[in-house]
Amino acid sequence: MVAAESGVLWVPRVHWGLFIATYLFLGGVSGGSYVTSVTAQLLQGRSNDETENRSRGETARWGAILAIAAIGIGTAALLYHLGAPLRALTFAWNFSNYGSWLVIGTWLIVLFSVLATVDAIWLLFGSDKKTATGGSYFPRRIFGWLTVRGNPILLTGLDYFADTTRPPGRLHPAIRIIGAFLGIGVIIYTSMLLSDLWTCPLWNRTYLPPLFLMSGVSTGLAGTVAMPTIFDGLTETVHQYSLADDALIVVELGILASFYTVLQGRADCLASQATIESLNSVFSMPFWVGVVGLGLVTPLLLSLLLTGTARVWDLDERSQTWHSIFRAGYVVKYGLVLVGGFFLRYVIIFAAVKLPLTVT
Amino acid sequence: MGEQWGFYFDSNSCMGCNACAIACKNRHGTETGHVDWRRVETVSTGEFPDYEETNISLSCMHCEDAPCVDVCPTNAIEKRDSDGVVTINRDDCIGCRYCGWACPYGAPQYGEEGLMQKCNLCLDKGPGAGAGAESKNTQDDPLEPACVDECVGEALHAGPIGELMDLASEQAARKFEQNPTSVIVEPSTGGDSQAAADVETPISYQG
Repeated sequence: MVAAESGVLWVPRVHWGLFIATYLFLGGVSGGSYVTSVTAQLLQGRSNDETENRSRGETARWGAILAIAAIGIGTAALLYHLGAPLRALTFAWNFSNYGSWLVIGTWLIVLFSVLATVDAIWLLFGSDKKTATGGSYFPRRIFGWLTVRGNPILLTGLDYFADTTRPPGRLHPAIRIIGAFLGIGVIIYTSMLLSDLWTCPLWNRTYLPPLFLMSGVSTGLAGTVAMPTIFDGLTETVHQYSLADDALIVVELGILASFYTVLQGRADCLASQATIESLNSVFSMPFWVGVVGLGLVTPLLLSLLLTGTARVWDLDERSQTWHSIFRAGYVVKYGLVLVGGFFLRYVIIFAAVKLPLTVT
Repeated sequence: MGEQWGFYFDSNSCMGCNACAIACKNRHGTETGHVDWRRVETVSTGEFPDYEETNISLSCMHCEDAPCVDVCPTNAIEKRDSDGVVTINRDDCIGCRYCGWACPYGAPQYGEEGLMQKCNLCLDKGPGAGAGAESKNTQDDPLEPACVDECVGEALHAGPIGELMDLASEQAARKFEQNPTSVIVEPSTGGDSQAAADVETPISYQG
């Protein structure tokens, strides 16, 4: 047992708890969703198949919606954790330490949220969207129900805002690309918030940022593409994104394996050894089952099974039941990626061990 | 910059009675449970029969380059130029607990209300007191820290570092020069084994 090491004084940890794990997870999902949304819109119109272009449009809109929803819920989780949440809302003038990643992250989130919200209005509202169909247009229906004396003033207002402010031509995609960079910034921030500190070996500056970046984009992609899969059905776009997600998962697995090996190899670092021990005892279920098993390996195997079967067994010739089974397969895969992403943040927060003081 | 204040701790004189921790709790009225501005830890070294136990009384180390100050988003934590005490202005603290993770000694504490509180070298009484207080160097009769006041074996002292250095052995003084905190720790002589004991700052680690 490491805790009984001679001359070692373990330092109590201040647990950040589930709300911060949720916040870091949703920050990653939000940034990743927006990046997925931007790629889908850039690809839209490049296919000769109208179904695919429609699917890419749906993916782009769902990504923007999910980005706002995730960052909104994540920020609420963060505020709930704080001792003085109302004081934190005065960040514009009270967050004066620009060297702190908490301040850098706050501004990244604010800029990203504003841009993503305005962009979502441009994507979903406007006079040209009045007859649009597709699951991603559900906010239009909700705003349509909110009427004052039979008049949907919110919907009318948002349509007017979109019509009058939507940037012309290529400026809109250019703004969205800036948003994608801000989204990546938000994902990296969720790791740098931890890695900027040197007190816990698990919050390593070499491995944690790329690990969170891969996981953030992967979970954002999974959450986004799951939506058109559920509401619109299987398309080649869903399949292509699934393959892209597989590539991210493979890289993530590689980073995680190297990180684990490096921690394990630090025989002279008691905190690294204690971290490895906790990953294999107290946190073995969330780590090995949640992160590695359910979150990375199972989605890969499921994807291999779905892709392989579809290749040798032309799905177009099969019954609707088989289509539904495949569709459910992709949804389960994307769902598991999200579950794994959450467990990753949970483990990184809860299994962190501080470097002990030594009395030699 | 005014003369820097700090603590001197001699583990050879500490019997681990916890009077310092209780006196601190009493003076500052901190809540029961896990809010400990000062705590006493017993560290074991060696194996039977060469087994030693060393009592360590720990609080905020009032570090020279305090990591809690570096990470605080609102600059609520201050390393005072006037006397070297690290204080927390609870009117600016948002209770994010980032300082708790940044501190290698576990000094920042959080009560029910979720805001940070910690040792202020008894600049004043109560959580958050001391921020903006007059320098220890210019106060007519600076309050003696409760932990020092109640220490049975005179293991703890507080004052300007220059004065505390008079108490320190050559080894303690040498260690202190390499130590970026404001606490002089007297090495334990550890009976027959002459085990050189010291509270070591963890090495800044990156991999």
